[in-house]
Amino acid sequence: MVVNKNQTTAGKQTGFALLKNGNVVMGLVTIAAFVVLSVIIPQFLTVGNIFNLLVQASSIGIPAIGLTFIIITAGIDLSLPTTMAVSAILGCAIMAKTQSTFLGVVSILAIAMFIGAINGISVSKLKMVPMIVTLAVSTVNIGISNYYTQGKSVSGLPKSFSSVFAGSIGGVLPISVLVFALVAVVMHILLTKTIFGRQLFQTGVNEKAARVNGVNTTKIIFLIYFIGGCMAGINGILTAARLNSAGPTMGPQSAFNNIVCACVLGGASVWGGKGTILGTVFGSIVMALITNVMNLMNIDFFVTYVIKGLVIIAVCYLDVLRNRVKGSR
Amino acid sequence: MENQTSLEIKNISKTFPGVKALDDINIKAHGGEIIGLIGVNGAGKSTLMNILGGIHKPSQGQILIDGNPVEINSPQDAEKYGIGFIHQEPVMFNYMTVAENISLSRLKGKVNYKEINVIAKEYLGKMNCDIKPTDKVGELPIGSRQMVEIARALSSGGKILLFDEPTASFTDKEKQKLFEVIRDLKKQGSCIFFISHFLDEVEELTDRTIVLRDGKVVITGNTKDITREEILRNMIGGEVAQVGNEQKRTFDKVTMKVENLTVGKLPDHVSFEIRRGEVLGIWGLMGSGRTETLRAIYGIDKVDEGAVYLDLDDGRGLQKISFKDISNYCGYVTEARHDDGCMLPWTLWENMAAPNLKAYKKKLFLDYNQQKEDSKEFAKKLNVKAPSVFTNMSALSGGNQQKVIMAKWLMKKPKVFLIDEPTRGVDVGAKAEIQRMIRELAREGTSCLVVSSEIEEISALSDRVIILNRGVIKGELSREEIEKHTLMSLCV
Repeated sequence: MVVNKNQTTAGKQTGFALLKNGNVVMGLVTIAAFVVLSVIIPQFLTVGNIFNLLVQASSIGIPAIGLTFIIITAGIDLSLPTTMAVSAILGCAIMAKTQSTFLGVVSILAIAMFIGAINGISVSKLKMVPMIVTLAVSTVNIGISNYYTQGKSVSGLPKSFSSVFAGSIGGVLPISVLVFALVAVVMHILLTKTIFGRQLFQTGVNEKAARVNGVNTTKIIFLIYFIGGCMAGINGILTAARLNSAGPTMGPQSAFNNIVCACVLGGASVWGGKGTILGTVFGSIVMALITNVMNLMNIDFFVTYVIKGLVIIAVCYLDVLRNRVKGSR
Repeated sequence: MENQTSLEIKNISKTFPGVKALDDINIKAHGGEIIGLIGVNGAGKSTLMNILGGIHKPSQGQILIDGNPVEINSPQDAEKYGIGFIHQEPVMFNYMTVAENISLSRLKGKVNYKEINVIAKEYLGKMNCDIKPTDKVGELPIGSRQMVEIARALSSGGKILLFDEPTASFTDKEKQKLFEVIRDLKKQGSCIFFISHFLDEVEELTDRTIVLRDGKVVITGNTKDITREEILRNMIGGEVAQVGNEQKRTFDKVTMKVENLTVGKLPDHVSFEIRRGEVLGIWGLMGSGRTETLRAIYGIDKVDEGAVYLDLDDGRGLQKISFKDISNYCGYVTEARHDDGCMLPWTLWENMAAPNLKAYKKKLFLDYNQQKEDSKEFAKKLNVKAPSVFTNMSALSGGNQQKVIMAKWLMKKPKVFLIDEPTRGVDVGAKAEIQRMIRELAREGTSCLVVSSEIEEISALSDRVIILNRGVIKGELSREEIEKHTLMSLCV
């Protein structure tokens, strides 16, 4: 038997072949951007700015890793940023009252997981449409966040909270970057080396065939929304620690744009069945880079919205292109 | 006849990356003629039709219509030149009316419903069809949908009609109706290409038979002058393997017992037993609840009543198994390969490992090398024709895809193997291989539960047949008792 290394149809697509490997493209784009930017913007390549960039990337990347799992099943979770906000607000309120960092952190996680479970049951067991359900959950989240805080922030948190979760190791490596890296490694292994990961891909490629193959697709779909909630919770802890408070503005709509953009840029297809954690990590760094550069260049805040919107459109088209190359026609 | 349509296919070749799908095809056809086009899967029938239908472009060669060279770059072009393509599964808009579907390509701006209803009536009338133009297409039986598709082709001036395996999911009555219509169209001067797997259909209907193999025309001649053996030999380029007729076999132990299985009306209190190494056929017409019975046993559809017992060879005899666990012990080849049978964009080894992941768990993680090794072994065992196990499933012919699906379940060593339409849409060569494989499995001790709509297949494979009619078991026949007319008389 001849071993064909190029797993899709043979040859003749060398130009597109690279495009098909999201990780290669993303890696090249990221490196190129770093080189160009460090030449044209003097304050770009400083240790401070690079870690600042990675901290920003982690707050996009952690929920984006959760969303990657969901996108692989052709689902979506619009509630990720608001879940982060509402869990951080309620958890921080508990933390402020009890002055217990541990209790607060556990509450944030628990609340976020609970919301993830609601999304999961709605989509998996009750067969609701992910886009609508998670939008509705998001609306509820916004309502609770604003009603509880009356638009203000929850503060008065114990000192240990921000010193641990917004601290850094040796004064250099920020905790949030470390957590991002850990989450990425664990999720990468879960996705590529375990039965759960293979069953997740089966569910995404062909749910009916997956069921015949003995996959409990209901369980898989529930779990990924649950994991999504979990990621929102982790992000909520890190973000609240960084701000040393929690408020409804923590999870704006634009945050979701960054998250979904990071996934698709990283090669996850909104049609389902495709996605990698490495790609999503690259995608998050690129999205943070765009934000970071626009900050450094003093571009108007609302102009950055226009630019990010255009990036999403471009990325969606890239997704279509990739799938056209892979598909039959 | 004067002014007759004529079609000439001249030196047409088509190359896909790595495959020469068509190699210097020359065919001349004229109006008032039905041409049967047969060949195994992958012989190039569909590619040729897709070139005429404007879906693929030929790499070389020319197409002449009425003596003029034409370039068909799109389905719209094909329509312009009077080529109508009637697909195997009618491609239509289910929520639109019959009339809308028929006039679809000509609809512009505000729709004049009166006019399109008249048009629909006219063309359906030509075929003696009493389908109402205002019915929704989705509510029609599949045979009628095909009629609508033909009417659509005719109404846009179709003179050259391509039928791509139109009878695959037809009842006998629908088939006869379709043949009548095709013969009428021939009288009216249409030039008809009829692709089919079924030799008897080609013999019954066509004037001329063209056999394709490996992208070449291997024989062509008047249908009545060519023998069935000649066609078969040319289709597969070798001798046809037959399923052996065996001695009556005896069985001892029961491996599966199904008791009062009920899902709504289909199936309705179905009970039977399969013994070790036995092939049990389920025979019934469409709508008899055959597929539904398999789905219920396998735990896909929610069961209202009933239970399944399995002997797991652990010395405890028959044990009641909950429906959600049955998939652990059984294999299930589904009826619709592309719908729920496999992961089309995945490679062969990924497909073969997919239901067997638990076997490859080493401590926490999966052993992919072992998956690839085992897949290679089974692909070889089942004679899957593919460049390697790293090939994508979608690149394989139907017969080879079916073998891969068989292989993935065999890797699991199932106690009971549920097989729904083992050879649907599979070419003659692979068909015999798959049938032999099922007999061999049974001889080795696997119990097989086989559903098939082909009488020949069910009688060749089964040791015993149960007959289903509207969800109820109507009878049971042993191997010696199986005969066409008894099967038919029990199921209608």
